[in-house]
Amino acid sequence: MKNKNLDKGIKEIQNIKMTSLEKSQILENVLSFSVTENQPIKSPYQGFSFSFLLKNTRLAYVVAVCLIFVLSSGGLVFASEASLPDSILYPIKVKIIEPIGGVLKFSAKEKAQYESKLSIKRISEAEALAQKNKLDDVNKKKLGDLLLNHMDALNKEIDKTDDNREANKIIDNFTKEMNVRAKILDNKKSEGRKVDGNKQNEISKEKSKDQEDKHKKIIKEIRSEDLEISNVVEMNTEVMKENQKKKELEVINKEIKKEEIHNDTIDTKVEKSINKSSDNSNNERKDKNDKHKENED
Amino acid sequence: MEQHMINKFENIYKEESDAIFRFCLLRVSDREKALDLTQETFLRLWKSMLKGEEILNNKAFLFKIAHRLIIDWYRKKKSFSLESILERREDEEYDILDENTDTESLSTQAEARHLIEKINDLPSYHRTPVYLRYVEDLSPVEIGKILGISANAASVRINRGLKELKEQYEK
Repeated sequence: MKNKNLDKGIKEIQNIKMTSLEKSQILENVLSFSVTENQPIKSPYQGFSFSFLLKNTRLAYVVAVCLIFVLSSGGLVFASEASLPDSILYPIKVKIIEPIGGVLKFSAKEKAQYESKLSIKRISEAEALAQKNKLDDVNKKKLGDLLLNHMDALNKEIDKTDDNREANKIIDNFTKEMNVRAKILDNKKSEGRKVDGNKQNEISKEKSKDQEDKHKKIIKEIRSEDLEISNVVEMNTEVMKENQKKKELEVINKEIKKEEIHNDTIDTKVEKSINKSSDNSNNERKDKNDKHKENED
Repeated sequence: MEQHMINKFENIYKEESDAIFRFCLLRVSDREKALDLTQETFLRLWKSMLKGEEILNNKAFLFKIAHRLIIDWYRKKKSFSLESILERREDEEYDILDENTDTESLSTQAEARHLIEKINDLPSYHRTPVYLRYVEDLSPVEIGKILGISANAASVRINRGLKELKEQYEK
């Protein structure tokens, strides 16, 4: 009975309808609408609008992509700054960021200072690697090549500089810094080797004497290889000092030559003036003698 | 091309306009407001058709728009004072009369009024699914699309709502 009432109620609700007049009015109202009517009219006073371009063109995507690229590359640059030769970011630092930094230095003096900084940086990287016990042959070669490049660049820039005092200063600072760093590096390596040597001794006690000899040979080889970087530094600094001395000698020779030329000219002038003065005195004497003779007469 | 679109729209309007009107009237209890909402619903459909948007299920699309317009209307209505709403509700009766209404149909509409009151007494999450299923004969999948829920959730709401409605009828 109750469900019948429910069904009846549903049927009655389904009979609720709009009147034909209402229906036709709504249909007419809806169909009278056209898309063009509701479109916004462009203002004649509207100039160039960047926000409009962003909203209505693909410029927004371009700007977004550029922003993402710039922001992410900034992070990459920052991350690569502290990277070591064993890191993936190290080539970005050495091949992109540092050369760009070099391009931004304009005078030869600034460039020389920058190159000396970079070569000191390479040594400090070697230190850091030695601390981590990661200074293997590959890394050594990498750092050695880079160091040689920096040294060449430094030599070239110092040759270009006109101010000898500044050049001397740069070289002195560089050699001091390099010597200190190289010594620290050698100490670290020797510490590392001591630790390795202790370990190997323990092993060798357990093993035969032949094996012990083999280990010692290998350690000697490693020691000779480890000294390579410090040798390169010393060699290069010596070459630089020799070059500088040569330059100084050339300058001194030039100055001496100039002075000689100057002295020659002065001597000739003095001789001429002396000759002139002697001629004058002779003439005067002659005149005086003539006068005396006339008076006597 | 445009004539073809107009014909298509007219066909949809003939088929669905009364259902949308009923749905709006049941929720807003005001014939004029229900007519306004119906017009706005069909206007939105017409705009979409003019833009060339593809509509897969016209009925579900229209009910979804109407449902959202009703929600918007309720939100705006909240700005009125609570007292005025309560005062109006006491005197309010469902204005479902039209030009065909006569004395006979008035007596028969008593059951419809009663059912509408009972449906409106249901909680909001049961009200619309029950109405759409038993009055408008929509499938749970379509109801799910209209309300933005899964078909399974829609059928659960329909069953629970119907159970509650029957309990209220038995009281």
